[in-house]
Amino acid sequence: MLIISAIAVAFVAPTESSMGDAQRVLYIHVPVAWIGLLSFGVMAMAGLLYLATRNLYWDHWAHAAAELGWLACGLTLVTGALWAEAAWGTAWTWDPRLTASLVLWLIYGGCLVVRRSVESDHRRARIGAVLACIGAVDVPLVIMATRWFRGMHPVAPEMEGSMRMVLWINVASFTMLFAVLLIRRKTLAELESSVGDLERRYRVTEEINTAGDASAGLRVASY
Amino acid sequence: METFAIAYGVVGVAVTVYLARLGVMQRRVAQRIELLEAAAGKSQGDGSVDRYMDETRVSA
Repeated sequence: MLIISAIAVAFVAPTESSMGDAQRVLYIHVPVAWIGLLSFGVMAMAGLLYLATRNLYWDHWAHAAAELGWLACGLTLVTGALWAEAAWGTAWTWDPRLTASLVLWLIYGGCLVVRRSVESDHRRARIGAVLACIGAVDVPLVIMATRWFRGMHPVAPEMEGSMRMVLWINVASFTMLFAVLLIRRKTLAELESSVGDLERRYRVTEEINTAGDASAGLRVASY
Repeated sequence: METFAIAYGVVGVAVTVYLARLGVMQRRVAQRIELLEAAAGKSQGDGSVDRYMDETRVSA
């Protein structure tokens, strides 16, 4: 699907008259930006579900979404900067949408840093969920920034039918890639959590065994 | 074409690095499971290890 997307971008999409080939960055910039926002939706929803159920299953989704969201948001900023350099002559301006996107990337980064610094699973999940819900406030700001405030970022430019079709193909293929990576990361997070649990339990059993051997030669037969 | 190629390259490299990182993490988890298996096998020896490992497999 990604190969089809790349072929469509290179050979099907027409060259834009004013910006030339630089405009083709649109076909990768918009899909990664969409994934960045979608990830935040997934993270906030999973966070809310964790807070409601206290089931770590939802936290694994939130963790996976936070990582992918940070990556997608970072790529949005980089591809946007490349495009801006070609179109506006500068890679960065403090445009409302650019600033809101940078804030979103920083929120994702903050979530990941906090997650790494807390050891207790449930405490980490709780803090992550609260941060995700608070950070979700920035999502409508990113989406509506071009309409609510004046800036350089275009609102929703008119596009030819073939351009729109290629854009949709790219959005669909990147969404599929996101789904695959999200499921893979979530499965890995679950596995890590299970192994961590077993390591802790095994350590406790070992300690009981050692204490038992030392005092009365007892063997713990459980586990 | 140059800007577009750089943008695609950046995204391609980032996704590849992320996939590689997932692979490394997966291998690390597999090593931890192997260590657990080895440790459990060494310290028990009364049939309880099998029960422990069964539980490991179900949980993991």
